Amino acid sequence: MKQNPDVVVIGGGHAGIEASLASARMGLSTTLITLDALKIGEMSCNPSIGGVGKGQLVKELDALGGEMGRAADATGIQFKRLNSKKGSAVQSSRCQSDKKLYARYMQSTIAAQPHLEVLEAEVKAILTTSGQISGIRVAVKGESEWRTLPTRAVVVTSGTFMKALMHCGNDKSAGGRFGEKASVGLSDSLRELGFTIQRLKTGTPPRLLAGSIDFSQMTVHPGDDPPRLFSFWNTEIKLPQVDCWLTYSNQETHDAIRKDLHRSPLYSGEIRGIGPRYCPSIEDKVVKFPDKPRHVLFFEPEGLDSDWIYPNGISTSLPADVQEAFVKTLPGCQNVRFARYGYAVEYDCIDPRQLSHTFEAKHVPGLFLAGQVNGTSGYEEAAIQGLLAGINAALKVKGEPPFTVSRAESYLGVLVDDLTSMELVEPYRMFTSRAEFRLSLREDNADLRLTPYGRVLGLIGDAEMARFERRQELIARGKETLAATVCKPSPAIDAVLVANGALALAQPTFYAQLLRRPEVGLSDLLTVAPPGFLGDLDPDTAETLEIEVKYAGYIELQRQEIARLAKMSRLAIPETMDYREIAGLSFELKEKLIRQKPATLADISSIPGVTPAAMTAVLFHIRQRGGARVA
Amino acid sequence: MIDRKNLNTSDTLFALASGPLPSAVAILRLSGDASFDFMRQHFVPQNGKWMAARGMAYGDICDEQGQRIDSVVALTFVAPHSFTGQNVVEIQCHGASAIVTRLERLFVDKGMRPAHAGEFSYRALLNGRMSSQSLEHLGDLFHAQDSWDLERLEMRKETSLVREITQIRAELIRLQAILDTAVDFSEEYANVVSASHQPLQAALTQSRELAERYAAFRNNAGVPRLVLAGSPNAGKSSLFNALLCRYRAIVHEAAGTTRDAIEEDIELGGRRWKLVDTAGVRDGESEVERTGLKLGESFLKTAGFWILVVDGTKGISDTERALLQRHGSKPHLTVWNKKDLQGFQPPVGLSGEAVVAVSALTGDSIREFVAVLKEQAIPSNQRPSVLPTSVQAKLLMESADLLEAIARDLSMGVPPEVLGECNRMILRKLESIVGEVSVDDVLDRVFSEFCIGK
Repeated sequence: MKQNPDVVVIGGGHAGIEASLASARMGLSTTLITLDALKIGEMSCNPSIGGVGKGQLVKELDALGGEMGRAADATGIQFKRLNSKKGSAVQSSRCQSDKKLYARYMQSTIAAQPHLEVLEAEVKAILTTSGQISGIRVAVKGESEWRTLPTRAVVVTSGTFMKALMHCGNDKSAGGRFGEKASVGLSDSLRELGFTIQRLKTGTPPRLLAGSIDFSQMTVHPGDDPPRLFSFWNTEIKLPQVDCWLTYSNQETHDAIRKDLHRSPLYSGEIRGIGPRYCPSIEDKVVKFPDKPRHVLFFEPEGLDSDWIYPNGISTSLPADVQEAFVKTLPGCQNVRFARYGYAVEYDCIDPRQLSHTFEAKHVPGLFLAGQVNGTSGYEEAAIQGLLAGINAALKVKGEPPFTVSRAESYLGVLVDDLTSMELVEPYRMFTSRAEFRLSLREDNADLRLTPYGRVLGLIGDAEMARFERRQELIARGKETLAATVCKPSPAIDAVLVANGALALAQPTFYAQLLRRPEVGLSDLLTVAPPGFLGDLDPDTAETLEIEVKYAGYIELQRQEIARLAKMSRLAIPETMDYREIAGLSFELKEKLIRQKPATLADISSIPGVTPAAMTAVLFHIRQRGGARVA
Repeated sequence: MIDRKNLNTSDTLFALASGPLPSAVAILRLSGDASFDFMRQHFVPQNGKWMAARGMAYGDICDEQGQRIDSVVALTFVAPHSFTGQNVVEIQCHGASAIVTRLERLFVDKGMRPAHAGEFSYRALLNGRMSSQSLEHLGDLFHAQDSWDLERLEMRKETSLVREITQIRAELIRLQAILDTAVDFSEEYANVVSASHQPLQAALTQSRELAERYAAFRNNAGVPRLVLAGSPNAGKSSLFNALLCRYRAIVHEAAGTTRDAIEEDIELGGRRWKLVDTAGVRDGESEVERTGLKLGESFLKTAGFWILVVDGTKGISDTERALLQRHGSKPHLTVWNKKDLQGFQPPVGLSGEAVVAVSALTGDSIREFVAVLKEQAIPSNQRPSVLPTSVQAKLLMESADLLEAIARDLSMGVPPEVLGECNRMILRKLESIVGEVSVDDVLDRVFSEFCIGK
């Protein structure tokens, strides 16, 4: 056992894994503390990675040298691109994972990682010396005496385990996940360190036994063929691919739920934690949308050799007998048997506004927090926070400047910005609509945006870097070629255009111009272009090239807007500034600005709650007063 | 337009603040430090010494040789308590060109310069004495035509504009929610075109209407015509004169314009109208009459309201019937003139419109006629509509153009994530008028309208 690790990571979930791997890969001796090493990498809820907004996070994590994308590729049993309709600029990846293999993959990756040690122990206290992290007190498994591990950086990734309470009908039991205990001391320890603690709620559906379901009564929901991978780095799909099934709830289902609604802890007032609106329980859906005759459900296998089915869409905390009654009304489920009942979990989280942009606690240097403990939801949100916290914990110990990214260049930046500035109203989940520059922040260009950072941090190896540079080159050359080469009218091109419902070519036109037509895709043009036209394009690079050329106008507009905001942030605020005159600001914000007297617009942007729109309003006002001057 | 980049903002300005010369009194306004120096050297008060303190003084202004130019009243304002925030002097002299010219020459000799149009207000803005909003407001004030317009400008201080733009914003947030839902919850992707139509069109129509409302105000397009029509000798001109006699608007003409002899401004119920006397409607015989007749027709076409003048001693003839047939769909009323004459017939309406009997010549019942006219021409449910400011109107017009582009792109199959970015640009424009749109506004809509989540 390492006596004085550089960095200690508490928790072996998705955030803890990325934090500890990043720290160890940056060369620091790292100890990952978990109650049960066999639960490292466990998927507590749905057996899948990615989705809209979340896929973007996984790609960004991968581009920075994280592990989740590789794990998803290695253990995925169904891959699906969402919004992959021709011409879509915002596509997202999602896969079903083999749950056991995913956890096993992560466990063996951690075991093989130099500088990284796993310690099965319970954290009893976080220690500080004159306000700074100095170590932790742990009860190591199998030892009766508590130990002190001196360290300079601690990353807390305790997930939903702090004071966790599971609800299934009126039954309540302490625990963060089925069959596991809650972590009680940590929450108090954080409270003592000055954190504001709040209560959130999440839920999970029951698990059903595949053998008891008649899938012939459902619609087969196959994956993409060929499947598209998560990772930018030479991964491959190793596992056989399987189908999911799609079905709908019906009036009978809704009646069964309504009849016993009073027995749901959500409606009896038992649960006071705030649940996520985007992932409502089935009882919520039935109550809030009484006119909707049916709700879509996906039946997802939990693994290749698992008999468990994850029925996506019926998250519930109704009592077991009600769960049985309403699930039996679903097509093919007349004789269904349950492997486990659904439940809701209430848990403690901190107020993430107490964290800086590196996830370090503003008031406790050396203490980092990442994942659901920060009030987020989802594996992907947790993982990328873990990565950023792990990187910054390592940099802190090394005495190097912190690593941050802006919301103009990544979803990670959006996530950090939002979490550290907005009041939490529900568990925070990523949506593409949270990003102001959605067309620039795509899955396909995550490496172009972030890999150079990963390289500098030491998380991207030589082989990956060579691959990245080759791709960069192909895209740049491809753009030039498309912009400079003319496509002449010919029966071949007209056939392609007309088949897509576009007008035939009237005159010689640049390929780039043609590609901007909504009906035309790059693959269409490649069928008529000279052989080797754009070099050896893999599908991912072709996608990047197509989107960048097709939406060049919009992307350029966003680039200008980003540049404008950057320039704007250097603008000095006149001393005579009267914020009360600005129509576009909320009352609270005006008060804050009057109190804090920021010197430049950049200072304004660092005030919590300031959006690009608010900055625009302030700038607009300064301009009108004729006082614009760059500091 | 002031070229602000090349503007010296530290020198002292002067300008004639009153109207064209000659006039009874002319007001010259000085702003800047040199104004007080000037007063010390060239103003000889009737009693005592001129003081650089807020107040009024009577005395003589003398030239370099000490020779009196004029006796004046001088108002002194000490910075920052003045219109421009600088030291200001207002000199009221006799409104003779020769005097004003001599004074102006003296100002130049003392290092002051003539102000550009709007430069005093601009200094007020720079010195924080006026906000950009009040400056805009002032600019618009000079374009107001009547009490109705004044009321519309005054309404800016209320919340009615914010309310109208908030409605537009609500539609845009709805649109954003639809577009974002399509992206963030891919199963909704298919419905995006049909679902977007209603909020898109509503926002487009409303923002266009608001922007055009301002354009119409600035183009003075808002003054409606009140047209008198009828057979020759029905008494149109008499009625025209009778109305002018009492309700003529006091019009301050800009120099060099001529006025149409048969068109005059009147003010009724707080609104300005152009009262038009058309030539008699009959089969024209002479060239003059034909032109006049055409003119009459064209006035009727553009009329906001018209009055059919009937010779009450003759009653309705084919001429009146023809007029009503052609223009009866436009708001109008009928007046039976010559009530004072023998043979005056009891008035009858042709199509249910209001009918009033008057004598234009004696003035009998004109007051009653005007009461009916007000009631008919300005329906009581018609309220003044608030005017956006020029900046707001510009933002609204740009928004409307972008919305049109979205509508076009949507029908061409451009994906929702791209249109969503365009729509967000519009929302950002409106934010500078009515405040921020947060992501939560959009998400709130998403979750209230769509059953989301797997």
